[in-house]
Amino acid sequence: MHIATTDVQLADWRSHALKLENEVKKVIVGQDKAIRLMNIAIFARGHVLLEGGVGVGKTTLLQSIARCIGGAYERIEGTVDLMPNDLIYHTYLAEDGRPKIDEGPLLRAGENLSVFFFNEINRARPQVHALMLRVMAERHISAFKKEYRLPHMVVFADRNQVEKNETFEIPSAARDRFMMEIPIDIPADRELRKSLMFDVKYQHAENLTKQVESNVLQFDQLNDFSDILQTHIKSSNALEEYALDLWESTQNPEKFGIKLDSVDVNRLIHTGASPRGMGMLLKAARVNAWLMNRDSLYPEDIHAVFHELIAHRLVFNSMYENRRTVLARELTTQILSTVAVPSQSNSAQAKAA
Amino acid sequence: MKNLIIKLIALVSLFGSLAIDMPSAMAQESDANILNIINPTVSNGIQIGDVLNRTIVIEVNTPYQISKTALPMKGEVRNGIELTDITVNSSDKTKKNIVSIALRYQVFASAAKPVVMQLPKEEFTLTGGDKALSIKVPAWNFWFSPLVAEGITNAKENLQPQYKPTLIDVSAHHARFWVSLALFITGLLGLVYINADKRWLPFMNGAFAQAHRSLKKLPSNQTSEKKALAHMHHAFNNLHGKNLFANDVEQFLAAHPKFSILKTDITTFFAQSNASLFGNKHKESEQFMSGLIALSKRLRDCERGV
Repeated sequence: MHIATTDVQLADWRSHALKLENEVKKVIVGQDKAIRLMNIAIFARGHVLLEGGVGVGKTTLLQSIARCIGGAYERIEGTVDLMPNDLIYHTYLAEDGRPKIDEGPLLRAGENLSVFFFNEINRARPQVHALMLRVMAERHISAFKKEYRLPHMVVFADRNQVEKNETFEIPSAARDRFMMEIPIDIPADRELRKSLMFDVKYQHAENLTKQVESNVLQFDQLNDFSDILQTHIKSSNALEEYALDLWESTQNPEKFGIKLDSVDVNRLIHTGASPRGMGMLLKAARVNAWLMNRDSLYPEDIHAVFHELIAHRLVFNSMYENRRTVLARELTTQILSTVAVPSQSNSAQAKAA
Repeated sequence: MKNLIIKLIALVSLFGSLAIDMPSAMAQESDANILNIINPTVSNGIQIGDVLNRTIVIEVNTPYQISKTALPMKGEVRNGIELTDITVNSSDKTKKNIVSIALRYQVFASAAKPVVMQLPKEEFTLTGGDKALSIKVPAWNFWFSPLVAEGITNAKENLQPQYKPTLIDVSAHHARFWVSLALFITGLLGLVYINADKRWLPFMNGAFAQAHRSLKKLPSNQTSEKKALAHMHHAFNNLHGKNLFANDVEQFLAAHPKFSILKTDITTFFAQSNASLFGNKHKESEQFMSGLIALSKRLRDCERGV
């Protein structure tokens, strides 16, 4: 009976998840993969960092998804003079002429906060980063002599890596708190580009977002369902061995014979993926398996999220840091191309037997 | 004068002796005459082992006849000439008998250079009459030729073929033989190429040939399934140059179009592999393994282009 109920729940939520994707795809074109990844992050309860140039539709995408998730949506702009307290409260002169203090965007909605959007997070100072990262990890904060719980909050942040003026690099420890860093690229398809240029509906982002059906998901049930989902999806021993190999390959790529053009792989990696990162990788992979209507993890589930989960967690030696975006993409691609499943050592053992 | 007298005395003596012998000779002529002597047609180039025939035809008046007991002895060898046979035929008539004597000789002489030899003279005694008569057959000369030249040190160099054997035309058989041999060898190579596991011809021992060979050695149980799948994935990865997963099958087929005919099989393999390795859904091991072996063989054949 319990199993039957779970199956119904899984199927029901899957239909909602797929509906969310379809709703967002109505207004965001050429970003199907990014939409799927964000959907995965929502159900894996992970925070997302969007990376992309200016005007590629990051904000519209986030607003559309926030509308689908339901709950309260808050946003803040990262600026060089933004301070942590700007997230907690703001002061103003009331009608009676007396100063007043109100809750800031982080606290305003209380437990109903489902999406917090931090625009251009890399323009904010490290102090702000520190506050955000704490809230992201703990999902509660003390202010006004009481504790504010934010159990349903997911943070979507974006950063523009092209422009470096007046920006602060997000440290590796901070990047590690984000489940994914999703690249938002300009669509390569010529027809899509034409549509973005000439279709007038894309000129009004606000109207566009309104076309998306709201409250497709029940934001306050996502945490519970996520636990059910994570428990339901099983992984075999072979897959666990594969995941361990992948982890090790992020730490010692040379051990797996991974090579990159014009890079000494032995000197490339300073720190590989963290245990938290690998845990998040499997968590996201399980969501992908569920979306693919499976109850077992396949390597393809890991591949679907590997780059977005791992690339921003890698710490390169300083001589390679300024090329990290390109090198991280190349390295994760090479890892997936080289680390075999079933592992080749098993194959060799079998051959020797 | 003295010489003249000596010549006259010699001449008178000669005529005197002729006058004494004349009655006997006249008697012979009248009672037994040689009608014909048939000698061998060739009198030169006779070599050791050659057979020479000689026939003497005699006319004998009755009651005279050839004495059978006085005939030359068969097997007698004289100066290297052996009388190997003698046959006497006579035709009886009222007054005269015609007797034909066939003599068969064989040469057993040897000489280092050509020499003149002879069939020996023969004498046949006549009996039955009052007088003692005989018929004398003169010798017959011929040139005997040695088998090899004089003074040779190496006989082999001087050997001459005598009679060449008649050759049978076997060119048609040769052609058929070579064509059959070529077909046999081609067929044999083809069979080896298709069935052999080792790499000693082009495209042999490729990734799938190795996998197929490994799979054939595995028993049919659940542990072997994993190993078999590992071998198959290893082969796909090797051929693809990097890891190949279910999502990359189209890319793989685009890079290796000769496997396109097995697209369905390859897709099914990856689905089954995922289910077996990661989904814990097991099929019957024996059936699963035999299916894998069959697929690896088809992939190997594709790889070899057969």
